[in-house]
Amino acid sequence: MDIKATDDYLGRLARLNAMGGKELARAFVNHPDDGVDAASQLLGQALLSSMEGDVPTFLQRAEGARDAAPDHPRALATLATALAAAERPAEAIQSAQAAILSDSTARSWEVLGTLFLDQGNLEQAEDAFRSALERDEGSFLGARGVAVARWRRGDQATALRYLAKAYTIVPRSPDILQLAIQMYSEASWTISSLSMIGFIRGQDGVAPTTDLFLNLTRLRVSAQAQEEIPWGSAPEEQSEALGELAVQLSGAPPWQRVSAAYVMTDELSLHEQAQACLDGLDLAALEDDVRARAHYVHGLIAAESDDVDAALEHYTAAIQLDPETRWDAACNALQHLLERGGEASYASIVRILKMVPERTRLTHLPLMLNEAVYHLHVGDVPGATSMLQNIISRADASDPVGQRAASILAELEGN
Amino acid sequence: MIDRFVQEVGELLGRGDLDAAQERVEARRGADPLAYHVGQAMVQVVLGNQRGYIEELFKAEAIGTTNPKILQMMASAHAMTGSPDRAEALIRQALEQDAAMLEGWQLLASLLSDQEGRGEEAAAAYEAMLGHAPRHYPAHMGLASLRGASGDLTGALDALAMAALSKPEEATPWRETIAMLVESGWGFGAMALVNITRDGFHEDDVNVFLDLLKLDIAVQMLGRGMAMHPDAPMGDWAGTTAELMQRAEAMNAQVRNHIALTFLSGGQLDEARAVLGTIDDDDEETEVAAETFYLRGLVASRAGDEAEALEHYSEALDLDPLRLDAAVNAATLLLKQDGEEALEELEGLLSQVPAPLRGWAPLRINEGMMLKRQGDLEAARAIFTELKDHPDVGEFATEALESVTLH
Repeated sequence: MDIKATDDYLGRLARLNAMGGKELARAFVNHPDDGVDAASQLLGQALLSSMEGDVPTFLQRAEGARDAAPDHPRALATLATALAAAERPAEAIQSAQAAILSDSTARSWEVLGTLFLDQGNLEQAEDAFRSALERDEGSFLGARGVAVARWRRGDQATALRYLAKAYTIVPRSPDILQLAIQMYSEASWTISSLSMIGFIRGQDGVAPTTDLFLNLTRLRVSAQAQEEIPWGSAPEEQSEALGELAVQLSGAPPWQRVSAAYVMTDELSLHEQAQACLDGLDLAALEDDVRARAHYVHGLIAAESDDVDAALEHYTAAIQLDPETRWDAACNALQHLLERGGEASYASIVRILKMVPERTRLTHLPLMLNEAVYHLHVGDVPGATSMLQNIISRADASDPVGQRAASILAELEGN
Repeated sequence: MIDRFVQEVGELLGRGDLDAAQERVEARRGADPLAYHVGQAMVQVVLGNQRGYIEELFKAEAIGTTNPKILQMMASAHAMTGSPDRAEALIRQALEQDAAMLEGWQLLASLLSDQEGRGEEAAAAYEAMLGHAPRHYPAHMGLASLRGASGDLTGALDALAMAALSKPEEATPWRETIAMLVESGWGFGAMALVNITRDGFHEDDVNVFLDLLKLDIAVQMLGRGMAMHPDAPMGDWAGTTAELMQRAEAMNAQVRNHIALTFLSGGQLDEARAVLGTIDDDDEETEVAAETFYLRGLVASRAGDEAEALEHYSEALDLDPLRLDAAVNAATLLLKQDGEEALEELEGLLSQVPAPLRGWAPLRINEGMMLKRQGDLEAARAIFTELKDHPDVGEFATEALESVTLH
């Protein structure tokens, strides 16, 4: 078994495929030189099927190559790639690991790393790619793989060094520059959005509502940018946006001022600025849903300054006016009342829950969780259990409300 | 009267009192078949029985009504069964009775949105809806979607703005706006981030990589001509070029080849030639040296020096017989020359290519041209006929075939 000869043969196949596509690759595989061994030919045919996108034939031929040369590391590695293409990930990993046992060179480690990376197993992928680089400093896939794994793990500086290394190894690979562009584009979505917002708002004829909306979007994006790119200019962006917002809102209709206040409290925790949006508004003159929203915002602002009574008053007014949308006010009110405890609070909870239509009450998981906790407070364990089970059955695994429900239920069952 | 019945059944179902709703419906059996079937349809919705809903409404339709609410329900049943024409007719009839019926306008807009070429009519239906309810969230979102699909970014943003401010509890308008902004402005962000990143690195390889990245981003965003323009908003092309030239010497020959190729793609022949001139091809591996010769051939060819180009392509092919691109380019140049000598040289060149690969269409078409020049029209015709349907060279082969036939 001459592994180097196989690698040379498959390398030439890859080059020809890059240069002239399947047509050239097919001509190469179907008319092998005299010196090419049988294993290499079988592997070439398998890879040709892969290039043609024919996964069943790729797998069949890769299995054929493995049967013909059971210890050939490239046969095992090719089979691993074919198994992965056929969506048999566990067997793919086994085959790649078997290839390493037979030949622990960079090429074998690259295949294992690629499989781990495709499966989202970043740590093991990086280990495998680093092993490839330890064995061969010129491992393009090793350097590329470390870059991708580090980038996805949030270490952009190391990722960039490895991207540059991969580029230095195979500069003509169009994949590397494109990969870097994609990574940069994804990482810079906040800068892209902010640039475009600036560009659009700079054009003539932007409608005032659109301008206000884009400025609010700018606030939301710059808040996110502050988290993601701490060395960027997000704080300046935010303070500039707030200054412009004050001017925009002074001429905006009341319902838009309420919506802006909502965004500032609920999304951005800018309570003072939200209060300024609402100052001077005649709530009684607003339509019910807008008035309900304004009360909800007032409730949030009051709660922020620890005035729970005022918050409860506003939340209750909000629920009365728009009981379907303002389940959030009910949820917050229940939270405050549960913290406060006592018979009077529990009586208020019952009143609030009666105000919310049953369909709405049983739709929103955070409200259901508070209702379940209320049942516990008043000693209604079966009521709480049934509600918690309902929450758990409907929540995604990553939903903190579902997780909290599960932990309360576990505690209940433990007792 | 039927309106009240529909309202009562709706309220009972809304409260979750299915038994009471069914009882109320059952009471109409026989006495008021229209109300009975409509009520049954409403119950079937709550039971999750879409087929039952449709069947009951079809029975109601057979009885006939002019009640707009019921016409709208019937239209929705036809929409579900894939009969948009009947659905549209019914919903228009309903809207004639009650022009303020928002669900009716919404159904009409949605029916029209799904039909090719009726986007403007759908938009008009949403506008009509907004005439009755100016802060109607679904109508604004529907308009945004129609505007976005027709490439009207400003119109889409106007509608998204109204949707977001009408219902700030909804995350969708913000999310869609940001996605739209990112899609159209990715290059600005990527370039800015590259520039920010660049300050933190001093290694030549990283900086060369980032410089090439900047050129690539600029080209992808603006196209090559625009990106190279001194006033292009994407950064300093000339400055980046100068830095790359300076750093190139610290890099290996493969990287220098690629930098030269980048310059060449931008029409910067002097810069490409200068970078290639720094490579000592005797020191390099065969494949790398062949690449250098191939690129030198391209530079010479672009500069109009075909003799020099031919020399470089031949050297590339001598070093690496898989350098088929060099063979194709050399063949094209030789075919432009008069005389037997060029054809002999071409024959020799093609024989350097490994036999199985000579069938590659770009090479084969040159072989056909050579045979034509040598007077072997039958063989040339056979090659052009074989290639006339080829996706890359088919057009050329067809023209060549016609010229051979004329001979």
